[in-house]
Formats: sequence, structure tokens, C-alpha cells
Amino acid sequence: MTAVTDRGAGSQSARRRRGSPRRPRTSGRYTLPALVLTVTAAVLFLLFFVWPGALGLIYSFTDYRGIGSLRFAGLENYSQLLGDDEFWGALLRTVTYVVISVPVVYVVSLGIAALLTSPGAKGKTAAKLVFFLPWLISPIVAGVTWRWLFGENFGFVNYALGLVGIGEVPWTSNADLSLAVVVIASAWGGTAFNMLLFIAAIRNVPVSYHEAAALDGANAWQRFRHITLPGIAPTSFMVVLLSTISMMKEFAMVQALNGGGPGTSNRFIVQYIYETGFNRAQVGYASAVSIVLMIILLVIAFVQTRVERKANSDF
Amino acid sequence: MNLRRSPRRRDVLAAGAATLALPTALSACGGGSASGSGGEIQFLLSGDANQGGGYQAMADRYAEETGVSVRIVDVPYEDLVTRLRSAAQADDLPALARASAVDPLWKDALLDLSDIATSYDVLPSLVVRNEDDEVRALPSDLTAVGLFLNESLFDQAGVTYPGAGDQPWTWDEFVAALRQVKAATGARYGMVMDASSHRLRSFLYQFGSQGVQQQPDGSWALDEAGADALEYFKSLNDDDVMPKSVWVSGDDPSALFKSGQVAAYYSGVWQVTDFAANITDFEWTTALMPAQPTRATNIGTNWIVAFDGSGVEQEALDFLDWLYTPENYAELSRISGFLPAEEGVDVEYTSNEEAFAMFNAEIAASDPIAGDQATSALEMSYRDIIIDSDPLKEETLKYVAGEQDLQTTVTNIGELTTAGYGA
Repeated sequence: MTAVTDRGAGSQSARRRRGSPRRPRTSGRYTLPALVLTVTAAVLFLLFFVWPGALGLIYSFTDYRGIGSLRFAGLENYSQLLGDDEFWGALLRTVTYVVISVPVVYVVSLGIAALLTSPGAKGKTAAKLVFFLPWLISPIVAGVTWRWLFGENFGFVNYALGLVGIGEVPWTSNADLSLAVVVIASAWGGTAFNMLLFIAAIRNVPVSYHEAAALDGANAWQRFRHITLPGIAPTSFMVVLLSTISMMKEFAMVQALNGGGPGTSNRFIVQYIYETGFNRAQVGYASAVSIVLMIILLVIAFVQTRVERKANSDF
Repeated sequence: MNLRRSPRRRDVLAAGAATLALPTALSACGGGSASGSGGEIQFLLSGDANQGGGYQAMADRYAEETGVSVRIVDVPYEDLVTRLRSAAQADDLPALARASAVDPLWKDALLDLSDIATSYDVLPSLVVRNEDDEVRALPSDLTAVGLFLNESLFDQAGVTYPGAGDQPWTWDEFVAALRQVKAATGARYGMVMDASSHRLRSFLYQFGSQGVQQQPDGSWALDEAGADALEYFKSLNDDDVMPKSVWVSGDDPSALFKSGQVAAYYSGVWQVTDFAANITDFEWTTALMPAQPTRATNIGTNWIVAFDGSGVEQEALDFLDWLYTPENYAELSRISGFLPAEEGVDVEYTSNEEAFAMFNAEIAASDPIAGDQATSALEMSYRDIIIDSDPLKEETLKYVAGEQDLQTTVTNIGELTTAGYGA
């Protein structure tokens, strides 16, 4: 064994001394593609994420209006933001939306995933396709579709309600009902991807656990509650985290669905950024709001990570 | 079974996901630009099929007559401002543009069009000169706010309405008529109005308001008559005369009127060609707008501008000179359904002649305030002042939605306008 090792080492050292012609090619074969891919990703990341982010940070300390030169304004945008009722209103409505929508999306996604992984379920493939379709639809198209469905004057839902003798419901001119429609549309659009994550996670929970629990007399709910749910905890964490961040940044769908209305009562924070930045040309101020949003999201991510870590250590 | 993942990886993933919020929130929409090249005159505009089609037809005719190519670049209305701003910053402005406003960013790159303005009797009220006595923008056409009626519903209800030569009705009489029509025909709504400050301004004028005007101390404010008008407007939205959803939720008023379920539509002349082509289920007509007590429309226009530095400056001026000759301008107005911004032009509209006559009658009978918005905006642009927001609409929208009271609305309109103009 030693001789073989020595011979091998000697042989390698001899190749090193002779300058083996294969060595560089082997090295290049494995490092060049990795290098190209890494550099490409790094350049794209720097160009489309870091650079706009840095620009936003710089703008947030200026009174930049989208044209002309920058004028340093210090912390003026941030102090103005603290007393801006519109900012707080938009932030509060966004948080309300997230607090309602994330549990809805979580429960619906998990429920559908549980049904589709159930041994007794029929037509699983067709059901998966149907539930996954919304993921393929642009948020703008989804918003327009739901707007049409819940249109106050000629919408399908009000038409159907009229057929069964229920009066028209002010889906778009009542702030809370309008938000409810956004929550429904959001759950519809956000279920697909999370459902796939849950299906994969549920399938990774060992069947033997369920079999053992069943032998011990646990019913289906008890098995789901005490085996499946803890087993998919990391996935649950990711779904909640990603859904929270995604919904905090909700823009396209809600813009197409109700434009933040009625009035400005359902204006979310990114819509507020858009309006101040583009409609009012207060790019510096909008950048400050963006930075605040980023900090809020970082805090949410950090807190959720801590909570999840603690929960797992207890488990 | 190990259900835990590396906390470090998870932290990094979570932080990374959150960080993605920043570029998403900040990412801006860019736009290309059009520039003259190879002797071709690029003409950037935004219009519907009729308006854009009219300019295209004239460009084709010009190419036939002179051999000079004019390329019409038709972009969405929302993109036009951004396109021109981007082009100005990139030093890549087109030769010509038809813009809703003159932007201080590129106003100094404009050619003087005085010769064309004086040669062809362009409406003097829309010829605005800068401090150097130059005309840097020509009105492309006139737009005016007006009233469309569902004639079938009015006839069915036996309710009459004033024609071009009649005494106008008041808003109270008009609303009473709408209620009658609604009751007699089962129409869903009495009227709809575009969610636009342009339309709202004429509504304010009709109540005797001068709109939002600069005060002696330099600030801007809405007058008392305007406040009364806003209160009246909210009352129309709060009962069943108008669907609240148009102003507060962005429902499409044109689609509502075209459904045949709305008795009247407070909009503008640009709807004539659209209605003529697309309304087939009922008869529609125009009527005098209400006056309480003031007769006023709101005259609007788009501005034709020619840019210096395109490389085809003289060719662009030659094209404009050709376009504004009475016979060519009449042809453009006929195809595009424009009200002419040039005196003495006889337009033979292919259809709905009486509708265009109604709008001309409204313009002729209007209080001088009707032309204030278009010309004062251009005068402000010449002085490098432009307001990027629309406080009148935004605050009215909140008032109608019930988010704030009348006094707050009026105060905010004044303060935000003052801040917007940097006064």
C-alpha cells in the first residue's frame, strides 16, 4: 500500500517535473466554465442589483427629480418621510395585506399539496396542472382578469349575484372589499409555486413515521399535525418568508386590479414609491422610501430566521 | 431525521431575498429614442388610430409630392414624456414631435416656428411667444370638453335636451333630466365623466370658478366657486347619478357609455370618431353642456415642436410649412377628426358633422377661462416651471372616495400646487 502510494506520489512528482501536457487541460476543463459562469453571474448581479441599489442609496440623500443634476440633501428625505401620513398609510395597508394574505396563501397551498399527496386522491396530474396554471400568467393579466370578474358595474361576480337575487356588491368602491379581492387574487396567483414546494417537502417525510404512528392509533389529523407539519417546517419557513417579502413588494397585480383604490385607500408601499418617483418626479424621496422598505424586509427576514431556528431547536 | 438546515445558508438566503426588494422597487423604465438619420424626418407622437393615421396619411402624401420621407413613430401616451426626456438626455431628439406639454428639459432645443404661425393664421389665442418673441410650439389641433348623450334613452324617456343654438341647461336641470331618463328607461346610471383633471376643470369653470390660480402672494389656490363645484361633484358620485367606481377605482367611462346603460358622458371631442365607428347598438348625439351659470369648455391642444440638432432641421420646417397650408391642414383634420387650430380652415368631416359643429359652438360660446390651462402651461414651461403631479385630480379623488373632507381637499390642492410649481 505504501509502495503504491509512494509510486503514485513519485509518478505525480515526476509528471510535475516533466511538466505534464494533460495537467493544464484538465485544470482548464473544470475551472474555465465555472469561472465564466461565476463571472457572468457576478457581473449581472453587480449590474442589475448592486448598481441600481447603490444608485438608489445615493439618490435617497439627494433631491434628484429624474433630470438635471443631484443636490445633496442629507437626511432631509428620511426626516420628511417620518412625518408623511401617505407613507405611513401605504405601509400600514401593505402590512395589513401581508398579514392577511400570507396565512391564506400558506393554508391554501399546504391544503392543496396535502390533498394532492394523499394516497386516495384521484386525477392528481390534471389537478396539479390546473393549480399550477396561475403561476404562468403575468400579474398584470391576472389583475385585469380579477378586475373584470369583480367589476362593480358589469363584473361577472355581481352579475352572478344578481341572478341569485343578491344585490350588487361594491367590490371596487369599498376599500375593505377591494382589499379582499386583492387577497383572493393573490392567493390564486401565489398558491401554485408554494404548492409545488409543499408537495416535494411532504414526499420527503418518511412514510415509516406515518406507518408507525398509525400502528400506535394516531388518526390522519394527528399524523398531519405531529409528523407532517414538523417534517416540512423548513419549507414552511421558506414559504412564509418568500411570501412575506413578495407581498410586501406587491405592485403589478394590484396596480392592474384596483390601482390602489378606491381613492388611495389600498395604495401599497411600492405603488407609493412608483407614484412619488415617476408621477411626482421625486426620485430622491422615492429612493428613501425604497431604502426604508429594504430595511424593513431585512428585519423581517432576520426575525423570521431567528424564530424558525428557535422552533427547530425546540423540535 | 435531520430537519434542520445550515443557519448560515438560511440567513444568507433570507437576506438575499430581502435585498432583491431594492432593485425591484427602484428599477426604472427606460425608453429608446428616435432620431433623424439618412435624411429621414422622424416624427414622434402619440395618438389613437385616427390621430396617428392622419399624420401617417399626410406623411405618405408628402413623400409622394416631395420624395422626402417622414417616419411617424407612434408611442403610447404614457411613454411620450419619458421618450422625449430620455432622448434629450442622450442628445438623440427626433426632428419633430407632437407633445402634450413642452418640457423645460428640452425647450431650449426647439426651433422657432414663428414664420409658420404667422403665415397660416394659427389661432392667436394659442400662439404663445417666449421672452425672445419666438413661437417654439404650434398647436396641432383643438380638443374641447363636451357632452355626449345616449339619444335612444333620451328619446325613449321623452326628455329633451338643448342643441347648438339653444339656451344651455343648468347642472340642476341636467341632473333632473338624467334622473327622468334613468327612471323611465331603467338605465343603470345617469352619467359618467372621465377621471381627468382636464374634464374636472371645465366642470369647475361651469360653476363660475377660475380653477386653481396663482394668488398675489405667489401661492396657488382653488377659489370658493371651485370648492362649491367639488362639493356638487361629490354629491353626484354619492348618489346613483354617477358610478363612483369611475373616479375612485378607475373604471372605464367610455366602456360604460358604450354599453348603452348610461344616459350621458362628459368627455371630449376625441370620442366622436371612436363612437362613430364603434357604437352600433344605440343612437348617440352631442348636446350643450350645462352652465351654472358659466358656459365653458376646456380647450386643449397638443404642441408640434421641431428640434435643433436632428440634422434635418430645414427639412422638418419645410414639412411643417407644408402641413399647415390650409388645404393640407384641412385634410389632416378631416382624417384625424381634429377641430382645427387654424382660422379659416374648412374641414369636410366624413361623418358626424353636427357633432363637430356642437364642439365648435361650445368653444365659441365659452368663457375666456376655457383656454387658460393649455396656454398657461406653455407659458410656465417657457419659464422652466413644470408641475409633475396633478393635485387637483389626486385630491379630488381622495375627497370623492371619502378619505378627506372638502376643506382639506381645497387646502391640499393649493398647497401641493404651490409646492409643485416651487412657488
